[in-house]
Amino acid sequence: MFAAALAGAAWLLALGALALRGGDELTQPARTALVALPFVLLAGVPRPRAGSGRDDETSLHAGLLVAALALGPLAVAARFDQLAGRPLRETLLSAGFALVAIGLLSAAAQRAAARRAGGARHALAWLALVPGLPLLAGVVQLAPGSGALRTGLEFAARASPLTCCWERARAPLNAPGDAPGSSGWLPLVLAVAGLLLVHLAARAPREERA
Amino acid sequence: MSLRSLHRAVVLLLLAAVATAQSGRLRLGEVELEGPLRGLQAECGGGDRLRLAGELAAGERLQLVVPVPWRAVRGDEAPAFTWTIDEDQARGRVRWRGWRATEDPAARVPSALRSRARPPVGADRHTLGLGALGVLAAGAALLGALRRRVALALGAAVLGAALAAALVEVEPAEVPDGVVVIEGSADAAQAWSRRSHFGHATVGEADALAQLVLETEPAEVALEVVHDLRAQAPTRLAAPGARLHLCAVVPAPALGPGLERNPGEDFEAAWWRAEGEWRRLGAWPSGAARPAGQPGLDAPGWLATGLPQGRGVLLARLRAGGGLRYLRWVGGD
Repeated sequence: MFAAALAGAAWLLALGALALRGGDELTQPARTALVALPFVLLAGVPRPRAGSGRDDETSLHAGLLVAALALGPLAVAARFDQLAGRPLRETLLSAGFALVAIGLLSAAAQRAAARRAGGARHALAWLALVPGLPLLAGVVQLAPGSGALRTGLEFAARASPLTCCWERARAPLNAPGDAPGSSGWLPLVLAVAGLLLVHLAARAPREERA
Repeated sequence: MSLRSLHRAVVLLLLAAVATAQSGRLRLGEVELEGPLRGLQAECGGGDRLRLAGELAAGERLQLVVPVPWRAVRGDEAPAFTWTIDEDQARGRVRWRGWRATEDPAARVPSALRSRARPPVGADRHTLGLGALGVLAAGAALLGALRRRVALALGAAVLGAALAAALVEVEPAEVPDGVVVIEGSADAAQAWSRRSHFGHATVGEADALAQLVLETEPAEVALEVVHDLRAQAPTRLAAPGARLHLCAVVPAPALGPGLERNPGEDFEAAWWRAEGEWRRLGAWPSGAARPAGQPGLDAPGWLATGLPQGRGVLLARLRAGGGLRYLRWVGGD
């Protein structure tokens, strides 16, 4: 129920992102990444324990269903981006890897919820990787001065799928080589982040295995 | 050094400065080509690129003046040319002869004319629409119903997504591509014409490249210029996601300070501001006296933005030759 409510909320937020209108063409966000944002944020939220004898199958199905729910809004967003003049290949890659990441994040959360132990580990990993790093980087950015800490955190924050989506969403249509969001490592980071969470959630403690 | 020679030196320096000063994103350069050459292009830094369409046969020579994407920060740095090399053929040669010194057309009109609000041309807008929204909602409901039959649910999701993407609605752009605005003033002997495009533009034969000032919005976007080697096709300019404004100096419209009569073209619609009050004049045919009009202003917002206060202003929409044009003219006090 909790997972379904999260998926529903993400779907509604995604529709909101599709319905956004107005503004100057020169500052229009990349819709594909914008629509992926709520799903990336909410798909992997740690959820209450729901034990099941068929953990693997349940988590895989949960991941597939959430990705399937995101597919519709992402397809419409990709169409918007393509019609607005964004490169088709880049748009399809963003949508495809966002789907993979959403599926993996959701599967990881479901798997962690189905295990007796491992939920705390997943929750910590999710908290650090998804909302934690960008938040920390944002706080450090507000602090006066600069230095290695700020640079390091800004760099680390890019490992968060949330940051990747955000940067990709605000990338201008005609981005020079060094503009935010123009780096090509979004797909890789999204996929790695999802895989990491799955891995952490899947690792059962010794006593459970015994 | 005598006073006279010093004076001459200063004058020469000023003339040189006028000759080489440049505004806009295009600058003319001279290049000498010797075939065989094909796939010729020049990287101009910051993602800017010049592509020379067409090819030269072996031994064929050509001397060209080409429009090169340019930014002030790069100064006189020459573009770096590359081309496709066929191993079984002799190699062609490209020689950069330098920038062509031309007078900057922008210097011929006051900066106040050039800095007026530009038309916000854009691509057609795409909206979700009720059809796509309905398909998305039905798809989500179906997914919930089929959650125990994952393969079927995935199939339904793919079909629904494809259908929803196909049902996206198109809303025409508020300001159409290719709109022309003629900026005039009672203070200026010449007017400034600006043709605005979104993403792509062509420079036809009518536009003399040397007389053209290309502005991009934002200023620092990557620009690609495709120029035909044999000038058989118009030069194409591309800056996806940016606005391209093709500007040139044109003769000023013959409008007297009082504007009692329209001595020029038919105005499809006109708006007149006098003593701070706007009036909608409606259609104003050529040669006719100024209509009394109604109080109010329903001109496009961008057209009536940023105009000097305390002066008479005429805004007019002209439709001639299939294109949409506006006149923005600031009169006397």
